[in-house]
Amino acid sequence: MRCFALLLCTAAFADERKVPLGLDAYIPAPESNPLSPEKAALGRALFFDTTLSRDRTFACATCHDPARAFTDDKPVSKGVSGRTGTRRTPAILNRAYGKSFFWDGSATALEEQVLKPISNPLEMDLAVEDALSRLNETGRYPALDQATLAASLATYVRTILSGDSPYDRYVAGDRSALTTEQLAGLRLFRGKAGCGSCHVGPNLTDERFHNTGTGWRDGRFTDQGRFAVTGLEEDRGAFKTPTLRDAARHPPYMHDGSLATIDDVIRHYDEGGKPNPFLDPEMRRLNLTSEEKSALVEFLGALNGTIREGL
Amino acid sequence: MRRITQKGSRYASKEFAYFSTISPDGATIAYAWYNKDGFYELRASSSAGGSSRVLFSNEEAGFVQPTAWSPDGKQILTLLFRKDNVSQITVVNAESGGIRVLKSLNWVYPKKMDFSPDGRWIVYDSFARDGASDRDLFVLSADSSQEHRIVESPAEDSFPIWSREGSRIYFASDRGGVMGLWAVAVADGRPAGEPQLVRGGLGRFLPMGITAAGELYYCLREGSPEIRVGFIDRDTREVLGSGRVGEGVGPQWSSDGAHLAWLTRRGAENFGEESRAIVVRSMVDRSQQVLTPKMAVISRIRWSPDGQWLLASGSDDKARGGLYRVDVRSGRTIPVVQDAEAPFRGYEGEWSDDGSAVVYQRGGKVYQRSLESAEEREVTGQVLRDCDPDVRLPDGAEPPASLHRDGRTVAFTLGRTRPEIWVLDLE
Repeated sequence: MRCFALLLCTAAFADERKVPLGLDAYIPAPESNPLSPEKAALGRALFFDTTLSRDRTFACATCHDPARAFTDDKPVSKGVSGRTGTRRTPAILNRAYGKSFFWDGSATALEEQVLKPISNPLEMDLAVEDALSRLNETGRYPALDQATLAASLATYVRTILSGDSPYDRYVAGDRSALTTEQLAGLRLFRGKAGCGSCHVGPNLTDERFHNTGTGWRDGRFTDQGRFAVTGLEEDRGAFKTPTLRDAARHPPYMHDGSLATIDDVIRHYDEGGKPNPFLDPEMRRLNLTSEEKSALVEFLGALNGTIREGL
Repeated sequence: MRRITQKGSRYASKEFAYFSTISPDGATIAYAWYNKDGFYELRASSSAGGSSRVLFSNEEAGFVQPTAWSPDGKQILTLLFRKDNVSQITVVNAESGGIRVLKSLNWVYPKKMDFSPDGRWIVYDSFARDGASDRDLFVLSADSSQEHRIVESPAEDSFPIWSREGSRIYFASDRGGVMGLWAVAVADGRPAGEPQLVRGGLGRFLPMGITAAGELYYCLREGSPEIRVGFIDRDTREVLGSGRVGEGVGPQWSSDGAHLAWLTRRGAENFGEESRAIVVRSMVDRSQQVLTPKMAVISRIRWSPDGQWLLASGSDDKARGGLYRVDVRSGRTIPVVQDAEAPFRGYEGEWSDDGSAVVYQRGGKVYQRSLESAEEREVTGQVLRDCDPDVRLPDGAEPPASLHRDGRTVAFTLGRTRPEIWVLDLE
């Protein structure tokens, strides 16, 4: 009887895991941490718990605000005691499909990534051991260890999915899903503007690292980006391609939030990025007309979809 | 033998059938159909012949390749290739045509996918990791809940086929140095042992399937085209004698006649243009170098007038079709025309007489693009004459890309169903 009940539970779980239109049905997860509704629920509770920060004022959700497509509206992240980070809070949409994490890809698994903001002095500033002690004292959770904390938070993050946008409906065959101007923007996106060279696939990112020059100021990089991870010269000033899903909903842009609007971003690319010794070879002047820029903005709006989280 | 589709000659209709797979009960055939709108759709026909029905049709997923039926005959494992150069492993409902995308890959699509006999698993080959050039085998659960790497090695492992009883997966591999048939035991979607050689030294073979009697059937590509240099009697066109200089296709002389370049295969890749490299041979000292430009597909090459560059038609390593310049000394590759709408094989192109521009055809029109400024203009011209549609080239021969070039004019063939030769004044 117990075995039968377990089978029913598994079947129900499989049905619940329907993903939004435009995303793969297969949601990658490591064998050591398969998806489960229980872990997702626990991870969700932890994601919103301010106990995880030193002064008990910050939760993961403080910066990764569900109301703002799981990012915030600040150029760079803010942490406890008014501390300021160096990079923009990334929108953690569809990260289940990601290959590396953080702007520089310094984490190779979500289980590794989710713990780092807790101990980062510029973010939540609490040793993970102390966080576990605090959480276990609350009585709100089952006995937690570091592995369980990481697995639960990572599982929850894997359930944060964005899809079913007008673009997804168009790609699925609904020819009326995009307006005429959005369609023109899509053609530019894939053609003359070359956006699709890096913003590719269901999640509109190649998961690779590119130097577009945003970190280059006064003849030097303000942030070495991927170079800090690989030590390769060619990676200086390179940052991971972010998803464009729901991007129109959450300015500002780029790894340092230095571009306030989508118009600014398009202008940046139209000018071929900011010249520097390691500028990505894909970067070149685009010579877009004002009408073409407008069409691209319209198309980017068509990437706003439905965000769902949890199982 | 009976014919399932009948649409007339290629001159009467440009539509045609492509990949196909037969249902487990033998009653239905699912196949790709290149339709009149210029993209592939998934169709199904009775194996007895008769009318067909469209199961899936979406221009955004412009290429479809049905590869296997689920054992219960309810789903068709189908590869999609989208306009944005994303390939997708999908299952299509054999009745409703409803589609479920299981997994997206980049433009390097699986060479083969197959269902396990119990229908729970799907095996496919794909690049081992981002940026890798060798393939491994993966098993994805049909309910999309899990995936496992089933074979991992630096070798090229591809064309997986599940055994009839489900305990083994057969595949082609070049491990050991030569292409052979290998098998790996599997249990519950995971490897249950190391791969074992079934038969080695099979050459350029392509596993296709396993019969009901348990026999593997495969396609074998024998022989390789040779590059030969010979002398032809101008009057009689008779070949007076020739000698072999290499293996490959598409030989092109440099304008001074001192070098010959052609396309050849590289690596263990068995089929396809992805494997091509460029051989440049000096006809003076017989030295030879192999260029491996950063291109996924090279379909044609043309020498620049100064002999410093080759104009290559094809796609780069992100599957962006167009025309590329390849430095004859270093292999450095620079895009000349790059277009998301361009076919994999790139555009038909030719150098201008002074080498400062390229002339190419796109969408039935001819354009000239400056190499320095990238400025482009449409080139107009006059139709010289119509080709005779009944003209047939010898087996294995490819139509010439550029029929004539005399300095100020360039000749092109335009159109497939009714080819025309255009002569265009570049001035």
